Parts: sequence; structure tokens; C-alpha cells
Amino acid sequence: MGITNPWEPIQTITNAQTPRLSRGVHVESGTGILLTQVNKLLGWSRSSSLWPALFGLACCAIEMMATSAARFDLARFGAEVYRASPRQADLMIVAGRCSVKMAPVIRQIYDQMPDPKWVISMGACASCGGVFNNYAIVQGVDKIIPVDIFIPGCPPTPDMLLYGFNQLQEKIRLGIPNPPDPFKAGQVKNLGSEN
Amino acid sequence: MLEQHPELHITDSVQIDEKTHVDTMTINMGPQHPSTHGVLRLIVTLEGETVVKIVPDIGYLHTGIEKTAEAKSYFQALVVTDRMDYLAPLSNNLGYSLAVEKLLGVEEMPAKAVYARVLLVELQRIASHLVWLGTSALDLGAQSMFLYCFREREMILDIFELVSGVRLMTSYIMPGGLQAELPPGFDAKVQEFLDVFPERLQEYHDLLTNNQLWIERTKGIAKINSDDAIAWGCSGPVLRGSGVAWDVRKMYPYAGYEQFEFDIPVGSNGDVYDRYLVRMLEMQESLKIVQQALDGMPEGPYQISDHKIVPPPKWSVATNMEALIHHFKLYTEGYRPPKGEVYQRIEAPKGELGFYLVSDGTARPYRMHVRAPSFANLEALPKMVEGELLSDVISAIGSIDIVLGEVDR
Amino acid sequence: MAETVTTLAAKTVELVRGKFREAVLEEALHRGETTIVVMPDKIAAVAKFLRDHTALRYNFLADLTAVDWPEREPRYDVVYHLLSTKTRAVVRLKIRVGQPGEEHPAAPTVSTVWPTANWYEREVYDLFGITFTGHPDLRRILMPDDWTSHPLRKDYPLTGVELPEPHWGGQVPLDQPLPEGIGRQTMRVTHSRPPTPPRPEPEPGE
Repeated sequence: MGITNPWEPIQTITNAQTPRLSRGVHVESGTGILLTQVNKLLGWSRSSSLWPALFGLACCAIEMMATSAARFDLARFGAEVYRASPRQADLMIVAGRCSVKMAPVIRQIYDQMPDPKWVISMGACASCGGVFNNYAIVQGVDKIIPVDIFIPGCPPTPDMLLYGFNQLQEKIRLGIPNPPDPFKAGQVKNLGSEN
Repeated sequence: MLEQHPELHITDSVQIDEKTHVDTMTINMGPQHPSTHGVLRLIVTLEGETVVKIVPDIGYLHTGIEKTAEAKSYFQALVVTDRMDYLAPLSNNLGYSLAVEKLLGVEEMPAKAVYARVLLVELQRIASHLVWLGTSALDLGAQSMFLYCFREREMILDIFELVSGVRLMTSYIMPGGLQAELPPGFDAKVQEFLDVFPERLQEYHDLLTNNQLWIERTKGIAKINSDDAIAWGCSGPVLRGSGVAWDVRKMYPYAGYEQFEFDIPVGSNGDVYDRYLVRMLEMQESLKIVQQALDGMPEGPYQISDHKIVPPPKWSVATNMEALIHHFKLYTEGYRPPKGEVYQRIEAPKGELGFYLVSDGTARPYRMHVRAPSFANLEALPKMVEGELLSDVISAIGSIDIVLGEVDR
Repeated sequence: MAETVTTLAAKTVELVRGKFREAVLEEALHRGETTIVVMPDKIAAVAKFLRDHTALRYNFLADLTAVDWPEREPRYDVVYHLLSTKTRAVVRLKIRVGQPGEEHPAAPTVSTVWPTANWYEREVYDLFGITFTGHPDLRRILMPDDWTSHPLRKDYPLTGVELPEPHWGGQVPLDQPLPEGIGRQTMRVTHSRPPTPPRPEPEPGE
């Protein structure tokens, strides 16, 4: 057929790198009641004092700053201490558009964070490229680092960021593991034609 | 030491005489760093604590906005212009809208749209300066300033949310007027802000302006004289802080600014303290303009009446055939300005923001180039900071008020 | 200020034509803005003349950019926006460079006249590929240092072309095999709407 519809997207698979995980409590087999309680304690303590690494890139960073300001206080969830050094942080909020020049830097900062670590991808540009579908922007930062929580919006209002943050806290308390790292070979099954 | 030994600028160790040698150290600041406002990378060569050479490395936020705008219609490209200087999206929208209106040859703008545009852009100037004040004070150690400034800024963002539904990235000022009518509670909300803000501004003055610590960190730091500032393309508070009384609102009045009475504060020394004072006084002048615009706001339409450019009201699309056709043509194809090019300059909070639009007669801009004020201001950073201490680099970057979204576009 | 912006612009054209008679190719006045097109090799001399002339004093280079007209020869327009803080004068200068088959057209630099042109010319080199002879430090400024192409040219697609590691993101087209472990670009859109025919020129006498 000679005429192609220029409006039809050539998208056949989902853009999300991370596979869908089931909700529910993940308890390692063979543990007794004591270890479950310890896991619960660890989950509670980790989720109540998440220390974000400063990673504001663009406009979403302004909303992230507004979230830690007086009206939408992020400190009541234990996260007012933004660590400048990634070695002291356990949460990376990627706030803003990631350009191709910045991509190796994001990966390096993520690698410098010690385990356990989580990533919130804040905003449309970090989740999927957003408004900018072009040569300069990484179409979703989950191509580079494993993302736990995606927050849509351009920019998401601070209450949306707080909701996403609360979802992450619940995820930590439930013990849901991190998604697979896109850079570790073999861990990623590309959904789509090459199965 | 620096003048006598120019080789210090590039080598790591220089032998001064048989007993002494001086070592320089090149360090990397950023792109992820708590006090660079955005993803800016600075490669700093230090001799002890003194900066010998500083090279800014930008491009970490390059978004291809100019190329994206070439693929969208004029109305759609309005949305990407918000995201450049993301601290003052309404200013970007105004610059773009004025440029497109110039291209189209739109002469008359209804008075209500003029007043509303000026009011919103001046509120946006105050919001942008509040973020500057909060973050640069935070960098220099005054941490509570951040919380105070953002508290005031929330009031302004409430006003923006009232008119457009969005806190940032409103895209409310469009070519042809405003996107929608100003809602009923607008006057009351703006008046509430105007009643509260002057004393808060006085509070900031009391905290910082005569504070010995602040003066030590900012007076005499990162100077640039007026000839250098002009040669290096600085504009906005950086240029005015150096003593040049240059403000695009007064020199090339646009969008009705000639009807309003305001002064432009001008510094004398060109150091960080003067730029700080210029911006504080500018916030006061913006308050004056907002009060005048609110008091004198006329009744009338909020858009031009040419429906080949602005969409007709939605209720008429359902009943009127011509309105339906205009709506259809505008949203599928868009208007086609005649061939030509324009350069529209406005006074954004950061400096002179220019939009260079080239039209080839089709519905998409052939080229949109944005003259970003922070790009030129950042270029002057080495001039300001070489020879100063490393901690003065932080003061200097804060005082230039760069936004990497507009430097990198 | 005794003279208005328009009279100063007219005076600029007159003075430039007077001094550089053969170098001025054309002039235009559209929407109140004056444009002067000069020959590329004379731009540095014209710039210096405009900066130092006592009646004009164009001491501020507001903007330096380029426009790509791929069907035209010469291909690129390098555009300079000048302004004078002393006399309020405003003018736009243009030069046309880029013969067909020339991969990196050359133009003289004006960074000796206005130091601020340094970064602007680097940006034009990065995005268009126009080299500036005499520039002190011509290297890429916005794209990564090992980028091989010039993105703002009209023949460069909006979503980019495939590039070797370590470039992530909107670089990998759909129909090629992917390196291990790298995600894939799924939407390939070069324009959000099909191109439209140009607006018909107004009839003479309209």
C-alpha cells in the first residue's frame, strides 16, 4: 500500500522497561515469625527516613523544592535532608528532563549510591521523554536506571509528588524488590517482537 | 602571582624560583552539585583557594526546543516555550506571543488583554526573583530565606492556578491575547497578595541588606564593570548592577508598558551586593506596576477578535458555521503568517529575552531561535570570578541568576 | 535621544552602504526591522565599523544565530542582531554562507569585535556545522563532545539517528537490532502534523 498514515505511531510495545510486579507481601520462604518482624521493622525504618539525593535537573526540580518548602512539607515524611553526596543518600528523585549529555552522569550517580536504593522518576520527561520526543532527550530515564515509582505531570504538583512518595514508602514497607537494572545483561527481557 | 605568571593558567605546577613552586589543581564542580542552579558543570583551576581559570561546561540540559518548535504549529510551539526559563514561564510566553503577533501583523490588542498581560508578567517577575533570592541565600547559608521566599511564591502560584489551572507552565499568554477569561476571584486574590507582600519584602530587607555576614559575602565580590558587561552581552540585573541604566521595558516599550509608571533601579559597583539590591528594588517596582494594572483594569474582550488567529468561543462553535470552520482550521492546520522574520525582545526577569522567528509562509515556524539572557550572562562568569576565592564562585553564580533550561534550550 | 530607532536604522544602512559599497548585497525593512545583507568576508570589518562609528556605536551584540535553507544556495544565513546602548539603535546583519557540497562552511569570527560572540559562534558550529575562522576555541558547546552530526540542520531528523555507544535515548531507530541491555525508542515521529502549503502571496494592489 502506497499511502501511509502519517498520524499512526509505530509503537508496538510498551515503553516501560520495568515488568509489572504483583502487589502483596513478598516474604522469603523459610523465614519464621522473628525474621518477618525484623523485615517489617527494617521496612518501616527505611521508609520513614528516606534521604533524597539532590538530583533536580529542570522544571520539576522547582516543584521538588516547593515540596520541601513550607506549604507541602516533605520533612514530615522524614525526607528534608537532601544529601549533596550520593554516597549518603538512598533515594534518587530524578526531577526533570535527562539529556543525552547528562545520561552517563545519571548512571554514575546511581552507581555511587549504596544499597538499598530507590528511584522516583518525577515528571513526564523523566518517565517517558515527556513533551520532548527528539534527539536530545532520553526517552524515559528507566532506560538507564531501574525506576520504582513513576510520577506523571508537567510538572507534577507537589501533592502529586507527595502521593508518589507515599506510594514508595508503602512499597518499601511491603518489601517489594527493585525492578531489574537495564544495564545488567540478561536481566531485561525486551517485551515485543524478539522473544 | 597571577599577572606575573600567565603559565599558571594552564599547567599544574610552576617553578617560581629555586625554592618555591606553585601547584594548581583542576577540579570539577557539577553537573550534580548542590549549589549550581541546575546542571552546570564548572571546570575550575585553583591555586590554593584562588580561582585561576574557570570554564563553564553547559549542554547538560539541551532539549532541542528550537528544533521541536520547527515541527509544531505556532500555537503548539507556545507550550514548549514555557519550559525554557522555567522560573518565569509567562515571560517566555509573552515574548513568543509578541513575536508571533508581530509576524502576523496584529496591530491592536484589547486593553484588558494588555493590562492582564502586564499584571501577570510582573507577578511572574516577582515569583522568579523570589526563587533567586531563596536559592542564592540558601547557597550562602541563610537557609530560612528559602522557606520564606517559597511561602510568598505559593501565593503567586495560587493566582496562576486560579487563572489557568496550572501552577507553573501556564501557557496562559498566547498569540492574540489570553487563553481564557480572567476568573471572578482574580481581583480579590491579587489584592490580597499586594496587601501582604510589601511587609514581607521589608522583612527580607531587614534580614539581609544590612546584615554584616551578608555584606561580607557579597560586597566587592565578582565585580564586572559596565564596559565589560556590555561587551560580554550581559543584560538585566547584571547589566544594571554595573551601572548601565538599560531596561528593555523603558528603551523599547512593548505590550503596553509605556502606560505604567515605574523606575528602574541601577547599581554602581557591579558586585554581587549591587545585583542583589537591584533585584530587591525591582520586586518593589513590580508591585507598583501590579497595583496600577489592577486598579486600571478595563472591561472588554481578553482576545483579539480575529478568529483566523484565536479560536472562537466554544459555545459559538456548536451553533455558528463560520466559528466551526475557524476552529477546525486552527486546530488542524493553524494560521500561516506571511513570509518574513522578526526579532522581539522583552525584559525577562533574567535579562533581555529575544525571540527570533522566521516564517516561510507555512503553518509551522521555519526557525525559532531564543536569545537566552542566562547564556550571555554565564559567558561573563569567568570575567567576574577569575582571581577570586572558590566560595565567591558560589555567590557569583547565585547573583547572575542563571536558569540552565534557557542556557541550554 | 534626538533620533528615533527608525531614523537610526536608516542612517545605519546609509553609512554601511557608503563605506562598504560592494559588500552590501541587499537591505530589507519588514515589520519595522532593518536587515542588511553583506558579503561574508567583510562581516568583521562591518562589525568593527558599526561598533566604533561615533554616531551609531553598536556596542551590544544581542544575538548570533543561523538559519538553514537547504534548497537555496548559499545554504545558511548567519544572523547578527546588534544594538546600541548609547544611541538605542537596532539593526540586523546577515551573511550567507554554505556552497553545495560544502560540509563545514567557513565564516569569519566577530569575537574580536564583541567578546560575547564566542559562545554564540560555538553554538552555531555545534548545531549547524558552520566554522568560524579566527575563533579562539571552536568546539561543541551543547551536544556531547563526540557527537558526529549537527542537529539543527534541516536534513537531520527530529528524533535523531543511530549513534554508537555511549549515547542513550532517542537515538536508536526501531528497525535495527539493539545492543544488549539498552532500551528501545518506540515512537518515531518527525513532525506532529503533515506539512502545509505556503500561504499565497498577496496580489499586487491588495
